Amino acid sequence: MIGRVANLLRGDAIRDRIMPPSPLLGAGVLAASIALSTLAALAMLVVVQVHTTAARWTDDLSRAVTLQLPSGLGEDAQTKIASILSATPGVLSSTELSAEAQRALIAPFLGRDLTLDLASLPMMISLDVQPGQFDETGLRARLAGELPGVRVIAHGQGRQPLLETARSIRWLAIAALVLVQLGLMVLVALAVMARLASNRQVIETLRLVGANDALIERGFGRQITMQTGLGAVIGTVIAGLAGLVLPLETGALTFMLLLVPIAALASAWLASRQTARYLLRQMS
Amino acid sequence: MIRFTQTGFAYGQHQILRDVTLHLAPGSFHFLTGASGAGKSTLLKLCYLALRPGAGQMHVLGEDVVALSRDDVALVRQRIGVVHQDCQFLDHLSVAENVLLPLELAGRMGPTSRDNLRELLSWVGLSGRERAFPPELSGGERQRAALARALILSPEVILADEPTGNVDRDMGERLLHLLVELNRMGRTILLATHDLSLIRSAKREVPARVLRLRDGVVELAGAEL
Repeated sequence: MIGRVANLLRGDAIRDRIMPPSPLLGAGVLAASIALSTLAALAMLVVVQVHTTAARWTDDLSRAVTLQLPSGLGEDAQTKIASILSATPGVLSSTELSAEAQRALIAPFLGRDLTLDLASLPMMISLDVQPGQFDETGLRARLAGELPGVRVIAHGQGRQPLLETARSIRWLAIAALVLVQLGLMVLVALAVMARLASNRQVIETLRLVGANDALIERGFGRQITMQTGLGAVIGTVIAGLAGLVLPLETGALTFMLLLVPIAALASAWLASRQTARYLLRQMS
Repeated sequence: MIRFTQTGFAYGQHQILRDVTLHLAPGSFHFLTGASGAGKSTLLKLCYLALRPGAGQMHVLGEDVVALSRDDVALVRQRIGVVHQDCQFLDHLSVAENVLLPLELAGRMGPTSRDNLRELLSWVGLSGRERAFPPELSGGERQRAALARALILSPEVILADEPTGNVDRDMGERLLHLLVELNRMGRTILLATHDLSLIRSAKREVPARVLRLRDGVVELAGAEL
């Protein structure tokens, strides 16, 4: 397989020379490949970015738990809460929200200038927990038994709709990617058909002088595969430049840069070889 | 060398050749005549494996044509030289590159190939035209370039389909003379033509047999010529 790829990229003096040049068709294939590869690379960006962002968000949310204490709870209660938290597996740290932090929390909804009696607001304790180890059920049970009125708000519960949305977007982007690849293969097949149809006499001449169909097939296939591959590289660079202005992860960009041209090259190689092989059989 | 045994061929419902039994012995010279559409080109195409027989058997250079794979067909073709009336070239390659093409495709290019090419082009009267491109050649030059290309691999058989059809009388005689010389060197020649004066001219130089295609059947027609 590696040998075949190397052979495709390296070319062959006779094979490349016997194929008549076709600048117009070549330019058309190149332009279409640039357009389709740009779309494929952008779809790939969406897949990778949605995946990493959703993973980060869900990770952050699954670590955050808040305890809401009714106002006017005494120091005894707070000591009891601290004792319960220290005995609950998976609780890494707890922070009581200061008055300033509470103000900041409600500011987006009620504004900064609002005069509030903070003493009438429930007290909030933010917990940083270890996902998978945190005993949420145990904590709820102990608080319900010892300190009724204390609410446990696990933010991770709200991540499900987010995950489903991310999954849907990811599948849509993958579907777009597959369709673009199929479009690229159809384009290559059509280009090969056009090349073979317009070079019927060349094919007859080559057969007459002893060329086998495998050589003719590789000759036509390589020309169009390389044009498609070049278009894919250019398209990926264009999408990569677009990606630079977006808040994307470098890892996602690198992954995309590698995968799109390789996929385009593989699709073009497969489509061109199969089409040429089929048509040459029809022509014999 | 080439043997037809009750060979038949049809384009769809249209029967072109029926029960052809024919043997072209090594070193023989055969003319193939017949009216237009009689099937001369079809018979030649069968000989150089551009077509496969629909019925009967056929052996070319010892190979059973029906059983040959596509790759083997290409190998057998490298042992046959073909010259057409409307000789086809790769127009983006020079005369030298076109003539050397069969040698390159067969992987037989060597240090003496260029010298052989010059000698061959000189023999067919195309010295100094190595760098020309096919569209720049006259009809006669194209025929001679096609002959040079057909000979570059030293084929055992030379098949010529109306090679003098597009050239003037003098050039026709010259091409015929080249084919006669090749036959004297031991090559088997099958030349399809409807030019009877060409046949008479050749028969003065070589013991050629004349075959006539009529109603899909090959018959010997030498006596009346």
